[in-house]
Amino acid sequence: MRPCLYFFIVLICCLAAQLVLLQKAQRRAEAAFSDEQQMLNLSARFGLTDLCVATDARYIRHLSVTDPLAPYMDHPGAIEYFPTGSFWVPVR
Amino acid sequence: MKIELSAVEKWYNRGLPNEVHALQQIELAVAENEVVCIQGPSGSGKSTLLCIIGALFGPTSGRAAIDGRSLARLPDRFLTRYRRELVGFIFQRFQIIEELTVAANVALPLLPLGVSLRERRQRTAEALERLNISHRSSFPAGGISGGELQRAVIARALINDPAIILADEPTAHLDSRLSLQFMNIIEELKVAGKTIVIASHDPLVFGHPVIDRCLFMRDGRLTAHRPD
Amino acid sequence: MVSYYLGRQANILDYALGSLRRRAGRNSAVVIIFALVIFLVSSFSLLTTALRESALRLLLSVPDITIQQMSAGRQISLAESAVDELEKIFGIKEIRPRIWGYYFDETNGANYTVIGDPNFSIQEQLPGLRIDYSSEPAPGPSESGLSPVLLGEAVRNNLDLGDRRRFSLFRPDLSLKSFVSVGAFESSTALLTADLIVMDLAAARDLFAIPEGEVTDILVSVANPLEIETIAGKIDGRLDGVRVLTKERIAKTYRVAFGWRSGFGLACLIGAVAAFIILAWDRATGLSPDQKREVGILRALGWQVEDVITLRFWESMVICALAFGFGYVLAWIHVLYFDALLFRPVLLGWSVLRPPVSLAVQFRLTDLLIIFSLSVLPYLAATVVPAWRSATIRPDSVV
Repeated sequence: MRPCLYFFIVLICCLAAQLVLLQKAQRRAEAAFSDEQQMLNLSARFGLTDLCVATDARYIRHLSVTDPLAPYMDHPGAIEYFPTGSFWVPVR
Repeated sequence: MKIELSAVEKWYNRGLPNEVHALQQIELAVAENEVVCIQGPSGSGKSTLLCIIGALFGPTSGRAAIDGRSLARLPDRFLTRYRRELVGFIFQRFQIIEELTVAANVALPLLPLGVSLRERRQRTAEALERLNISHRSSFPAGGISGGELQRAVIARALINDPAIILADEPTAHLDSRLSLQFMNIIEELKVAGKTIVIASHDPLVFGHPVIDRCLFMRDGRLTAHRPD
Repeated sequence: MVSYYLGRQANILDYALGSLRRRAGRNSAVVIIFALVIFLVSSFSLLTTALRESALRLLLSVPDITIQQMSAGRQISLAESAVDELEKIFGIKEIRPRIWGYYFDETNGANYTVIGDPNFSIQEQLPGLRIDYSSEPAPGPSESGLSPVLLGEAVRNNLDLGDRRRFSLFRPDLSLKSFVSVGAFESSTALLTADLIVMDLAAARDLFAIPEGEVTDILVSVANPLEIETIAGKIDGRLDGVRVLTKERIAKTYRVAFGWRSGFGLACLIGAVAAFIILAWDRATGLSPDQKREVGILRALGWQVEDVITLRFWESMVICALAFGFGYVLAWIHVLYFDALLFRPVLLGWSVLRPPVSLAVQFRLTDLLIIFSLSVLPYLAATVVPAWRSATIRPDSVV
């Protein structure tokens, strides 16, 4: 078999693997639909405004209801929470 | 195909301390289907002459024409196509890619032509068979003997069935038997209508009956008679 | 004509593959490192897209307006009497004052989010909520001092309750306040509820020593969603020194937080810079004498300049295609099967609570094209100029 066919076979395998992964992602999204409905209800019921991912500081935990000055208000010598403080940035 | 060189001059590094006047006022006419041998010592300008005929580079001045068409001022595209389709060049130093197999080296001129894999393999096998090196086809070119390498180079030069064959010291690495075998191939090519120019100082070549005409080259000058 | 063109491309590709194999070590290293860069960039992109989409979907049902009181740039408590002013504004459907704060557990350094809800009831049935009476019956009215709470999964695990339901937290004056867990949020809702402790308003006020008549924020729902901004403006005018946050701001936060201009986006761009560095290294070394000789031989044998450029293009294309194929597939596996394990330190930072971040990953063509443009296109584009220079090597250079 000529070399370029081997190359295309490898690419096709990558594509096939990607299609399998896409299908898996699709199935997971469908399975998660009911969980999402539960979370929508809880969000409305308790006024939850942010995802619970990083909890090391309040202005990171509740990104959408804080402001860029919040980290400076905690303490003059407050240590920057890296890496989350650099990645989770409040919107002006 | 007829070859005509008229008042051809070639300078290397002109105007510099290391300038070389490689060719001086060359007049050469090779008729179609003629086999011409150019004798001369090393450094006489034989390789330069063949390179001009093969359009590897152009002359500094003068005219080089194939079938009446001048090679001067042709764009690189046309010269490349001329080299690929009409010229089979057998280089003195082989110019082979050592890491490739013998078969892959022989097939190099076919790759950009869009030739199918089957046809490419068939033509390569035929060329190798003709030169009696089929048994080395899958060997790396860097791992075979000088004589076998020379035959691989000849096979590569002939694979596109060119009209003009240019051979620069083709028997340099061949023994007598293989040299005669090479001249037999030249005989076949002459019968097939090729125009052939060979640069060689091997008596087995310039003394062979297939040679129609011998020319002599010395210090960049071409003569019909051996200079004393 | 088509078969000639395809045949030519296939032949040159065959030769290109052979050429790459002849320098297998170096080319393998380039493919591996390139694939790693694409893996990192793609993983980041998939993760941030999933987080952003989850946030935008899940937070659609948040209250329309959140009101906080500000003083000297800090948030302070808000008078509950502000509700009376809000009731005068036409168009407001519901007003819900609440207490919302953070409890720092000094025993393990965890932060819990505490919500004091005015409508809290242990009888409440909610999807996503698991009522728990496993070892003890529900607290009756006679059990004074024990405040019922609902716990997030990470809080429950962190308090290490096991079969127990009772625990205590410190008030500001270091006296203990006791609680009893009456239910927990399902683990499937952890993305929103993992660190929550929900209790009634009085219990929260007691825990944080917030005076009567004060709350931390007020949630407002509006009858007509089109009037949210208008009503927000009216609230801002009626109440002094308040910060009025609308639902749109929440959406904007998560669009920006996970967009290409965010810190996460910067991480992706750094990956693109790394791809450029690989490119520069690979190209800076230029053609070796052997490679130049090879081009000279090909030119002498009748290869056109564009044939050599095509050869260089296919060499680069093979490297890019393999790197992109492997890198992108590995990124999907990393995010889909391992929940972006490598990035958890970046996502969670110093957090003690480690909620599961299991996301619904989505394929977006635009993200794929951006990753492709940042990594593969520059590498391919950079083959043109050097390839042209090398392709015009004179054929007589080998003679």
